Amino acid sequence: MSEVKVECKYTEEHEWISLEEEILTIGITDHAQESLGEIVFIELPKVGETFSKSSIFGAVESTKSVSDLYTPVSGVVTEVNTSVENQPELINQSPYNEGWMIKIKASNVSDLETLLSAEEYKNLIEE
Amino acid sequence: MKVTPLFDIHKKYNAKFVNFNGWEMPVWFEDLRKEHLQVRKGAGVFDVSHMGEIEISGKDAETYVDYIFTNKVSDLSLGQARYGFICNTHGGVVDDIIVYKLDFDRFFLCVNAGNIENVFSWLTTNIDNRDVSVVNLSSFYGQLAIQGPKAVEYIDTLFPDSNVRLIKKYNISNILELENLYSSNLEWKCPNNNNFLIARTGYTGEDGFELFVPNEKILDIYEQILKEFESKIKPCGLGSRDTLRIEMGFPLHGNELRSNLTPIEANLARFINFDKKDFIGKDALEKVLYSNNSCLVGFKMHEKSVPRSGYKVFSSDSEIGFVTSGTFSPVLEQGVGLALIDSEHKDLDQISIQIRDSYKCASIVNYPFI
Repeated sequence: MSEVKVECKYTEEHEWISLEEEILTIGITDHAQESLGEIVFIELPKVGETFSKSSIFGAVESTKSVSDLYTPVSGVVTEVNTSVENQPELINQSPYNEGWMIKIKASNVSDLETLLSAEEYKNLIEE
Repeated sequence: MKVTPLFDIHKKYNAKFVNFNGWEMPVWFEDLRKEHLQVRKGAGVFDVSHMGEIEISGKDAETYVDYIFTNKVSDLSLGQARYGFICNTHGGVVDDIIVYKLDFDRFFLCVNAGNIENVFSWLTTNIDNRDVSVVNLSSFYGQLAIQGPKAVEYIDTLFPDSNVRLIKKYNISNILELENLYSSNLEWKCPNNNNFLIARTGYTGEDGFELFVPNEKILDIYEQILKEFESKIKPCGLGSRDTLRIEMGFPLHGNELRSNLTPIEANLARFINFDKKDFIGKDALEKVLYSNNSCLVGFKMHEKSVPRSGYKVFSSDSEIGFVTSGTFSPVLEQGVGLALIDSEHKDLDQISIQIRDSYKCASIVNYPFI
């Protein structure tokens, strides 16, 4: 059974979000990394890039397939995890910790209301 | 969705499933890359029971197969096989198949899962007044591919009386042990009793076998293999089957082979025998020999990136083709792929592949890639 962290928020695109004031840390869930298989390459944006909600900010390539990454909120990228760019296997090994991808400063706090709770996400992947 | 008789045991082995041509098939078990390397270094077993089997028999079987197949079968010895294409009159590929000569008047065809009905109706409509019968045996036979450098050693200990070591590449034989064990209580027997066949063929580039066995017994056989060779022969999914064939540059129908593209453009002219007097598609193919518009090339990515089928191929600013198959090669740890490009560009050294918003450099190289 894939791990779902209670303290995180989630999207239907299998991303987790952890909130610290208005800064959101974003990665992909344990369930997502399991269904992708071994991740061989990741494409992430640069610090300072701005995105509107639900736009593509990057991509994860596994041997089998490619998955786009979607921003859960509108905002500006404040930090990028360069370790996962160099060692994409960190996403498989530690999706919720070392495998984090980007930090975004949300420009519209109401965007957060549409995120799924841990419980809701659990139900989604158990369907 | 259709499933093979091994569906439940695949689940037990934690298979992740994928829809492949209407079949729910394992894409991998634990890890695609490990399965890939297992086949390159040891041995793996693939459930390929979705593949189709068709038999053509009768007095005119040999001339008929030579008429519907681009390669030649009349000079095959008994038990020998040959790869080639069933082409339409425009030279496009209906399917790519292996033809096994089981007897002087009996040929066994292994066809792709997605093309079984197409091929079967193609074969029945082109008979004219020849004395042949075409039988679709796809629901009778299941199929296991046991592939890898160790496969022969293991299968030899499994079937010691069948002398599988002596089966030459691209040859087929009977599995005596299974015939003796099971054939008396088979509910449905194959015409001429070739119920348990073993061929030294495959789709991975490694040595190994493909076993054609009745669906009603395949679970017993599969369990026996996994039990006797625990951790030596590992279950592998269609994901590694695909990455293994891409590393070899083997074509896949639907990707490199299409009904509107000739095998010549797919760089497979060596499987067409123009010495034969006549076969379906010959005229069209001869014309393409002298003026083909497109050609298939292999390429390797310069940076760490993964080409996928459908991605556009560019030379400086002009679009010159598209990727037909691509992956991240587990052996090379590099993106590799096949692309169909306008033939005027076939001598280029460098191309670029559009991956999402960026253009990544690639070198045109010969394949197999490994």
